[in-house]
Amino acid sequence: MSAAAVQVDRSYLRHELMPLYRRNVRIWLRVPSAVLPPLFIPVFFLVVNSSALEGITALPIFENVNYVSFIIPVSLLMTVAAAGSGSGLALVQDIDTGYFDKMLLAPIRRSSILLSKLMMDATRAALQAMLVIAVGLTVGGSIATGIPGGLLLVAMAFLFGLAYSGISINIALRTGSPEATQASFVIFFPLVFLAPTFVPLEMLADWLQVVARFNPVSYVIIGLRALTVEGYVAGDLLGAFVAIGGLGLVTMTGAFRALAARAAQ
Amino acid sequence: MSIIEVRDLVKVYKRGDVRAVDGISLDVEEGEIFGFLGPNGAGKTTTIRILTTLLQPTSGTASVDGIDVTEDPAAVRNAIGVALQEAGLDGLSTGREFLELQAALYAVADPRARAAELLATVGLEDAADRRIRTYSGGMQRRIDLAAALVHRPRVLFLDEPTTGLDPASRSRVWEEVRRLNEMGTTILLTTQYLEEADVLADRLAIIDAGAIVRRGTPAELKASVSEDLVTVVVPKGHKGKARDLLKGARTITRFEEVDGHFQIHVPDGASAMPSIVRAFADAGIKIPEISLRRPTLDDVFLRATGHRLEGDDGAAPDQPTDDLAMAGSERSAR
Repeated sequence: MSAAAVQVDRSYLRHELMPLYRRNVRIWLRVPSAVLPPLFIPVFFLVVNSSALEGITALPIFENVNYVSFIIPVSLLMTVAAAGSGSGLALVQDIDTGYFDKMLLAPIRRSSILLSKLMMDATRAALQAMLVIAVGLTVGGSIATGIPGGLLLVAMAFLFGLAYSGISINIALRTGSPEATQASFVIFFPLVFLAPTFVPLEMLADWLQVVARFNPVSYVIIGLRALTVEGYVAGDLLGAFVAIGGLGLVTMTGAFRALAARAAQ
Repeated sequence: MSIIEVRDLVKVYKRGDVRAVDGISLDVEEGEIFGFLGPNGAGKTTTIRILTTLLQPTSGTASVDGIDVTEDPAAVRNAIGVALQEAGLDGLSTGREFLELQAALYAVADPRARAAELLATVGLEDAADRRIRTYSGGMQRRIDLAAALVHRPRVLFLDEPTTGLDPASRSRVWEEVRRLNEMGTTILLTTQYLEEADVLADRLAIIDAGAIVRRGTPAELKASVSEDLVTVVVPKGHKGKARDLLKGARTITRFEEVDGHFQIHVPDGASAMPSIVRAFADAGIKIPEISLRRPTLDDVFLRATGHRLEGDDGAAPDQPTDDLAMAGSERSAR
């Protein structure tokens, strides 16, 4: 009523999601340190391992697969996870400068703040995944399932990226601390290295096999790897989707709850 | 009905057990500038955060433009403009991008046009396409003020709008605030500057330790101290005689010696000064200097709280500041 003079009817997309999404993309592109490092590690990893570890595929269990193809999935997860950690960091900066308060003061749904952020994370994860795949193909890798499988690979990587960014968003909203949020990247190490990252699950030590079977990231790697070295293995793909969905459900529920808690003090 | 109504508002921060706001009631009438004056940690920012829906009160009620802030916070957000102490700017965006986004979020019909209009209003057209992080403190306050105005709110909350600004930038913000008020915007502003409260506010509430200790117009408040201060410089050798003279005087309230000067408290300085000069002359004391000081809001503050607002860094040392109180509850890494 009071502000009617300059207001038109609200549109969820036009007045909330899109303007905030555009802003998130803008901020991302203007911070070079948020664009480059998440790409550096996985690309480095791909290039170095492709030459250094190639001999490993001579082992019978590998059945002569191309090792670059074998580790492209790990690289993909690394890049989207690194970017996902940055997602919470951008949020914590907004909290720190008070810009987050400004968004809370605006007459928008609180969920739009988070959704617009996740949309940006998805965009970024998809772009980076495509880049990593391109690098992988350049250094000798291949994708057994061809272009459709490659697209599925990108889609799965970006869904995993979304689920993963929920972790840093949670920490950001709950602590408001840049240090704690930054540190969320360390969670990735046990997730990635207690998994069939460099060799097939069967080659891991017994205890590690047990741990890896409880690690959702194992199933994501196995599913993605099926696409790069084997083909559409239904069981593996299903396992990956269930793992991503489960992780996403947990982190997103937590993130939206954390937002509600922060907004309603 | 008052445009802002606050009744028995209490906010207790659980962590640290700080009673930041301790039973505040106030009414702000439509069209006025209401000043909320107090030192750091007095509870000003907490009150503003409750009124602007960023914080939930522990108890008590508050309404803005007839809307209860806890029952319908979304409607309140639509009706108000807010510029918080921490400007909450987006340093990586340009001023124009920032205002266009803000206008879009408030569903303003033509965000581009509105942003351009506001950039002109606050005199930032030249800096419009520079990133906000390159702005000076004064420019940042102005862009933040512009952001609070995108939807032409009827009520504007300004939390310490000039803290940390140089005098020139400060008076520029003052002019803007007055202009907005003349256009009909009701403004509630907090400040720890007496001068700001004196210059801008139609009415004032003085807040200390979470409670309102005095309220009224600046003139009423100053009159309530009801004392002017006449300072007389007395030549050496005449001090004893001057002391005897003042002790015998019936028209003065009291006097004290400060830095070798005599400070004489009188109900009405303008009429007392000639008789003081005459009395000293009659006693054979030639006064080289005499001056008159009217009560300031600082005197009002001192009278109400027992300590001065300015000069001792505002806050009593044993009191947590608003910032600290918040650190405990919502911002651990500041």
